[in-house]
Amino acid sequence: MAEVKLLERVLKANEVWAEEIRGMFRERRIFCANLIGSPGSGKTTLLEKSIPFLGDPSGLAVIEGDLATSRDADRIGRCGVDSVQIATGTGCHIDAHHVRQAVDRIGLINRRMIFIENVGNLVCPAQFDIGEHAKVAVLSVPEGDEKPLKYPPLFQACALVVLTKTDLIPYTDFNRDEFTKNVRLVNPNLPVMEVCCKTGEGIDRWVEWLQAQYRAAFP
Amino acid sequence: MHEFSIAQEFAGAIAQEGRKAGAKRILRLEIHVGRYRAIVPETLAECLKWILADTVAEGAEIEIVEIPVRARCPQCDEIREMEDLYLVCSECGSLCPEVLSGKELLLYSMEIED
Repeated sequence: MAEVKLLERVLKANEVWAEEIRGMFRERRIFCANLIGSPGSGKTTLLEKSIPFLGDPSGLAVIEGDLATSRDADRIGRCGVDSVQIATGTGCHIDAHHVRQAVDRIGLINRRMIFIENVGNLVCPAQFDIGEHAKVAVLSVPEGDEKPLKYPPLFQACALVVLTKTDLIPYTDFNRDEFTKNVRLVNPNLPVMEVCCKTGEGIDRWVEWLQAQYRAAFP
Repeated sequence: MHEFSIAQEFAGAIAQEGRKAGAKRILRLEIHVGRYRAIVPETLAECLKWILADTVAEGAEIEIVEIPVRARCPQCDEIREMEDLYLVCSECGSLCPEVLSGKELLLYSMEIED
C-alpha cells in the first residue's frame, strides 16, 4: 500500500484548451461571446434578432450547446449563419474541449464573430473559461429580479447582463430598480441592457455593444 | 447535475493517475473542492462512487475537503474569508472580486495497492 500525493488540477486540460482557442481567435481577429442563461431565457431568439444587424452572415458562426437535439442550430441555420450543435449528453455546460472540436467543424476562415450559446443553466457555465472574450448573462423578466442574488458567480464572471422579454414587465412582479440593485450588490460595475426581441427594442444597443467589444479586442 | 460532470472529470484524472502509479487498486481518494465552485460534497462523492464502479477505484473511500473562499478586500487591503458566494468583506462590507482561493478542483492524493 502506498500514499501518492498528486495535487492534480482536474480542470487543467480545460485551461490548456481555452488558451489554445484564445490564440486562434486572436490570430484570426475573431471576437467570441459566450451567452449564458436559463433554458428559455431567449438566448437563441436574441441571436436570431441580432444576426441581420451584424453584417455579412458568412462572417458569423454560432456554437450551440444543449443536452440533446439540433433545434437551436437549425434555427440559426435558417438565418443564413453557420452553426454547429454540441449535444453535451449528461454535461451541464460547454467546456473548452467542446469548443475546440466545434471550431474545427465550423471553420474560422473569414469569421469576425463567434457566439457560443451555452447549455441553459445559471450555475456551472459561469465557472468555465472556454477561450471567449466575454461572458454575457441573458436573463428574462419572468425569471425574477432576485436572480443575481441567487447565482452570484455568473453575475461576477460576466461582462454584461442582457435582460430579455421586457415587454412582460407589466404582467409580472419584476421590479427594474430592484433588479439593478441586486446586480450591483453582486458586481457594482456590471452594465445591464434591456432588450425586447418581440418588438426589437434594445437590439440596436446590444449590437453596438458587440461592435464596441470587437473594436476593443482588435483596435 | 453539476456534480455529475465534475465527477466525470475527476474519474478521468483518477484513472490516469492510477495508471501512472501502477495501481492495482485505489483504496482511498482525497479530493479538494473550493466552495466557490458551488459543489455539494455529498453529491459529488455519490456521483463518483457510481462512476468509479468497475474501475480500479471501485469501493475507494472518498474524502472531500472543502476549501474556503478567500479574497482580498480592496478597502482593508487584507485577505478575508468570505462567508458565502457574495464576495463581501466581513469587516467593511466592500466587494472583493479578487478571489485567491476557493476555486480548487484538486485530486489531492490517493492510497493505492501497487
